[in-house]
Amino acid sequence: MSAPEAPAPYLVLSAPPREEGVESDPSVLAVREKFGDGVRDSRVDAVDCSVIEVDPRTLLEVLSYLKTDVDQAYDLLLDVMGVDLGGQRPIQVWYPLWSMKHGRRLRVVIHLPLTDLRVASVTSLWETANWLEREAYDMFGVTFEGHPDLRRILMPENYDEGFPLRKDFPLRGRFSRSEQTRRAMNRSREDIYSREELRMAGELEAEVPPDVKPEEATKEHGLDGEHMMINLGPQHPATHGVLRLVLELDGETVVRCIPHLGYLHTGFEKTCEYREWNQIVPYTDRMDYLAPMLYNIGYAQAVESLLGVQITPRCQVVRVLLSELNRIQGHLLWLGTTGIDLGAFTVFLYTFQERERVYNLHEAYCGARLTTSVTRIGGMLADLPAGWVDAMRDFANTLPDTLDEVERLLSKNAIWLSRTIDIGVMDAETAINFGLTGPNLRASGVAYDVRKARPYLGYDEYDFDLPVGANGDTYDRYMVRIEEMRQSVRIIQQALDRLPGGPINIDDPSIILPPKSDSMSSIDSMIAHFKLVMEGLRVPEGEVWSSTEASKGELGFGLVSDGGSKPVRCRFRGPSFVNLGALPRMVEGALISDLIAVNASLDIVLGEIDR
Amino acid sequence: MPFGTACCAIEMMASAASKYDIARFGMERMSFSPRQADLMIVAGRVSYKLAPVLRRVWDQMPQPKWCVSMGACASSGGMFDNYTIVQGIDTIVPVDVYVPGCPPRPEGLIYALLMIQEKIKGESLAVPGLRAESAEAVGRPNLPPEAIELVTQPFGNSTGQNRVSGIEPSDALQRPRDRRERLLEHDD
Repeated sequence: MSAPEAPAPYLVLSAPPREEGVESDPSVLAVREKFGDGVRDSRVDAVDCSVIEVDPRTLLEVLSYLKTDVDQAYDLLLDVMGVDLGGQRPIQVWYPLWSMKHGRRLRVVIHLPLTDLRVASVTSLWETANWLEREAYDMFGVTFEGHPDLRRILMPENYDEGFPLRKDFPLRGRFSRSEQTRRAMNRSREDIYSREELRMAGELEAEVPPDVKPEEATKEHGLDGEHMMINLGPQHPATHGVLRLVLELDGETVVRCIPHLGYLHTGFEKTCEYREWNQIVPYTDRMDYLAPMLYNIGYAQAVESLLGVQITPRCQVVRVLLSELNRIQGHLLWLGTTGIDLGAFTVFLYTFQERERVYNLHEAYCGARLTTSVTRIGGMLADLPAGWVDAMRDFANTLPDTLDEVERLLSKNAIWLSRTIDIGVMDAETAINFGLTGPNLRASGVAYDVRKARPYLGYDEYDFDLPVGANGDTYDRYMVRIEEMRQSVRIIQQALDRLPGGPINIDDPSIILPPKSDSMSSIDSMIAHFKLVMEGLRVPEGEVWSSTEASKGELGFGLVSDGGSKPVRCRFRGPSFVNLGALPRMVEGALISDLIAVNASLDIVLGEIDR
Repeated sequence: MPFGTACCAIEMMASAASKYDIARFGMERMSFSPRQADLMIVAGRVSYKLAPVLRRVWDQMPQPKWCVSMGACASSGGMFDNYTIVQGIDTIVPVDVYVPGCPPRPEGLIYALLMIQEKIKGESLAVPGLRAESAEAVGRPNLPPEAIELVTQPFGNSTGQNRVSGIEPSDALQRPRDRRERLLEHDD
């Protein structure tokens, strides 16, 4: 762990403002010049990000150029997401990119006709594409050619009802409930383990030639005699939910770790296509229930950028306050559960005491402890209640004491040190390649934070540091999060000092409900209220891929609207889904006990991984 | 046996932590092994992919055993009426107490556990078949098709299920007198 002001090896700039109507994005110009006909279209989306639509056949070349060329250097692949607009229209695949070096973003889009859903895989360029492409395959049936392991990732591997996010797939599935239950309950072992794993476990012994003795068996014949396969999860206290890991072990050393996801697949993205824009806010809570307001705020911000509205100054500061409160809350839970995993139970009790104080603040504001649903498109559910600011200030002033206490317990603790130092090391290059974001990336020494790189909610006006680690090990990830909580306290104190007066909601009855008192007394407000409730908020046609910094990393929302009251596509790019993709690499050659430490240090939340 | 999956699991952790502290009621021993557990708290949504795991964990618990369904998702699917979420875990395992809320507060969970205690007081080991185990059915999560039809009835799934592993219709599952009824009786 280095000091917060340690120089970052990667320079992160914010993008310069662009002129209207003129193609000024150097990447678009360069790609157009180099690939000519390969580029079909280019435009700018609602968050001022350039979008290039390219020919699917040239995709790999374009992305390879964008990643490797010195002037482009788009080294962070943020997402691979499918979009089905319905009506037999082509399925789109979006590739949002970010260049650490130049501080620019770009979105590459391809259109695939339904008759030919094939495209080259980009796993050779980015490791992070592995899981993201598997998810797109799982949900849309897009075949990524050259992918090393193209299987379903969230749905069961033998799921035969189709591709859930296609428009022709019904919300409740193709089969009746009893048939779905019957299929679920009658799974055989072959459905739960992949062929490869069964071979590892020696279940498919027929594939080992009979003339080979067990002690001479090698990898090609299955598991060599010394190795053992164990199954960790999905019901295991140290997997932070229902993550399942299949491990190949040599003694206690992990040779290979194969995560199985989807045990908590909730169908958020499908369900949200059937909900109105404001009705989606409660769903965002339940993805990351450890820091729900960050998700509320990120979602509201994405929709507001589609609408092109600017929230009020008071609302901005309130959102900053709540964001940082929830960042602290998320990190506190991480600290407590990681403490339990590594045998420090006291920390759990300390951090939950602080979390109870956060819950009290939540309750005072919105009435709920966990599932807060605080934002509305264009504002918040209510203004801050009386006395809340003082309670918040009190919390911000006293939290560092608890952090000091926890640090006294852990930071120099011999057991803690020996279980975290040099465990699960990730260097900066690999971390970016795996698409890590948030504290996990910063612990590897990359000072990338959406709050600094693309400031939103006026984060550029606050004075705070980005803690970065030097070694990228589990201890650095711990220290970075501790320091981030202190920085959040700094932001909260500044926000409380500058909290402006004025309205919290924008003044537009077509977007946000008028005050209750008005709708009871004025006919205009009553009509606006009625229209908004009955018809729902209408969002103009458009698309956006907008991201904010959640407690776990970069949280992206990919939204497509056709001008109606419901989204056509509602994509959540969960940071822990991508972060977890690095786990198999991080634990190769480690001990099982280190696996627990590394997995804990990634700060995953299954609600948002499986969505 | 805490079977925590989603948001409710965080509230379950909160009930075990310092402020709510279920140890006050002698319930602090969270057993992460089903073999040493007698109460399963299903906290959070259960997907069809997880359903066989849930059943297996339930089957691995020795008798006598009870089950609490914590929160709207576990009890009924909650706000997720879609292709992947089981619409109520009572289609998979028998449930003794349902806790409403999304998520329920820790007080709600504690109240549910007290209700379980009340229920246990009303049960008798002398009732034949109440907790009899059928040797063939134990530990087998795979149900025969007719049993699946039985458990996926739209309402009242629990009443059709026996608490033994496997599905054997039985009239042994009479609803014990609840706390309120008995308190009223006491008043008389």
